[in-house]
Amino acid sequence: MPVKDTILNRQDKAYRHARTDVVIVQREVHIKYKKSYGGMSPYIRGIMGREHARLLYTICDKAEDHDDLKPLRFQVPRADCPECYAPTHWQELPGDTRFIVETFSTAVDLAGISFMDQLPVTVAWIKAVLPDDENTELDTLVAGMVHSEDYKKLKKGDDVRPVFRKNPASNASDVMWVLLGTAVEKFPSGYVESKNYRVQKNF
Amino acid sequence: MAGSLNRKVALISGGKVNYFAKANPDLMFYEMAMQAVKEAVGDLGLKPKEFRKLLRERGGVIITHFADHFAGQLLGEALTRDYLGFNPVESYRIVGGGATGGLGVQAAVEKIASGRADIVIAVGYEKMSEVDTFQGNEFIALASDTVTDFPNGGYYPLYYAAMAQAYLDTFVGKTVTGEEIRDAFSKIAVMMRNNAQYNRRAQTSHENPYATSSTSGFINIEDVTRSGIVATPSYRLDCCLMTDGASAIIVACEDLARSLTDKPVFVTGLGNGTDCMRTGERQRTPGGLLKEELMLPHEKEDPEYLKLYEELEYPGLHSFRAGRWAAKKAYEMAGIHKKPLEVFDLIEIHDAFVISVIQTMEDLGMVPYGHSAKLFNELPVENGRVPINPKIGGENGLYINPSGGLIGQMHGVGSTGNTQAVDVLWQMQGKIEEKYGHPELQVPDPKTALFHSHAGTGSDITVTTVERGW
Ligand SMILES: [Zn+2]
Repeated sequence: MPVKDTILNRQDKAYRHARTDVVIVQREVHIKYKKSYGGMSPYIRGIMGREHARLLYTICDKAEDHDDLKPLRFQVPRADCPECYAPTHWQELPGDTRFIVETFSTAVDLAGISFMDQLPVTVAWIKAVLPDDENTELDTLVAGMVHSEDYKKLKKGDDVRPVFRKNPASNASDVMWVLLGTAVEKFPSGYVESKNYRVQKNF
Repeated sequence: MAGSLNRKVALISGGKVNYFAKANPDLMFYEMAMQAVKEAVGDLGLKPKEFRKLLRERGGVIITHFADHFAGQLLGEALTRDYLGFNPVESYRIVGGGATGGLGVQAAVEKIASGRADIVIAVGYEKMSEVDTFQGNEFIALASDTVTDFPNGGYYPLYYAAMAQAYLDTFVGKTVTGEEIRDAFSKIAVMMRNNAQYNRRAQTSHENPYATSSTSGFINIEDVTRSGIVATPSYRLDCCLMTDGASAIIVACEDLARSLTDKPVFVTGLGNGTDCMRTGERQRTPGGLLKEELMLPHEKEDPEYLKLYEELEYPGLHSFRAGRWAAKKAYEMAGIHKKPLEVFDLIEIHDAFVISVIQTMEDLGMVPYGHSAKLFNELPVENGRVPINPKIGGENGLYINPSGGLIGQMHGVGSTGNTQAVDVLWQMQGKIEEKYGHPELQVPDPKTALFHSHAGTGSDITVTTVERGW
């Protein structure tokens, strides 16, 4: 963790707030982490698949050991069930899974430093509904960035589809979301459709 | 017995940094803590030497600060103790996101209730100005899941804005209109900011020598929506401050409390609730309040509540189950069964954003879920402003955040919940004119009060109830 201190000259705006004669330095700290996704790694590998990307979730079907006596489906996936502590099993979300905006907000002015150059950024919490007879919903929502032509028109209940980074960053933002039916030329820059999840498909 | 205190504990004295500030380069973090501790000890009429002897023989120290990143200093609590001359002493740090300060006060209370100490000082601090605002936002965002939510553009004003959107989508057209909610948001923002103008130590006070002209002084209703959208649907003035600040509160067992002050404020209830850090993982169970037995005693008697709550998906992304849980636990310990709006004279709550006030009033059972806006819609407006320190909820209602709260006074994370306890104590001891420099914010004759501390998007929440002990 290299640390470098440099004196700030008296003209620096950091001195503006001082009412006494203080010394202020600029301290720079650079940190590198080697961050493992552990038991969640299959999910990250799935969204890193570019045109072949897959969205994986995990399921625990030991319904009798759960508070509500139902199987539990997790996306964000987890390797262990929080209710019965059994290992979960990996499943793939089918291509005709519906993805629906539950809630959202668009950052237009402030953000963390990593996103300050990308505003506006819309983040939505998205519900996945399986194409089975019961229209089973995954038990959790997943947060993701939604790219749309006019963020002001986005609303709860909108159908969205995943698109995937062409050059994966190997993090959760390798999947982004666009409104169902979005034309390829309106995709966020650097993202492509996966053959497993068609953006044009109607439900 | 679980859910009770083994002996009575009183808040007896509090202190704060002389001025809360967006940036105070004149003081390092432990120098801010010194100002707060000096005030708290001095107000007891004790010499530091006498106080330190008491701590050493019968006491303990709790230090709270939130993010090591902000000051770039790990184990800052040790440096703080060193600077305050506390060694050797029984001491540790408590941390829990935005609830850090509140958790620290509760830990101090527990330490005394357990018999381990007779007197404890809880000291909270945060120095947030040494990084710029974008970096600061990012540090706070690191208190969301850094694997899933943070890389997707998540940061706190946006998380709360999304919850505000969920609140709108859940309740508009059912219990309230969108216009009524926006009206309430703006009135809350104005109430907090303008209250702070009568608290000379508040960050936004026009009397604070550290305040900048663009971020201090009175505001009007229209200033709020003119301040620009930060994250839809939230405006800049809907959001709380980032602060350099510190505060300290001294708590003691009954005998010692009564020997040190004639105005002890006794703790009656402690509650501490949790929920999923990733908001997307929170339950969305229809009738969840009933199924999880999270209704409060006064709600169970009202058929209107039952009807509303049978259908309500709970907690969803619109409400804080952790806050409801904490309130329920605290009220149980305190034996509160009646309407909390009528029980309490004064509350200091964690107004990180105006939506949090709306949500928290419902979590605390002040009004039914979906009904908070009308508490604020009722406030009269004159020349674009609501009254200073207005009573909320009618004749039997209460006062909310006379201090100015996180929007008007300060939000220096590790200090915030501690500062709220100090504000409540000063109110009950009748010290507001002395401490704030103005009498306007003194609540008349408060007997019962509550302070509330809150982390993340509601992952950790504390509720503490107190009553006058004289
Ligand atoms: Zn299980």
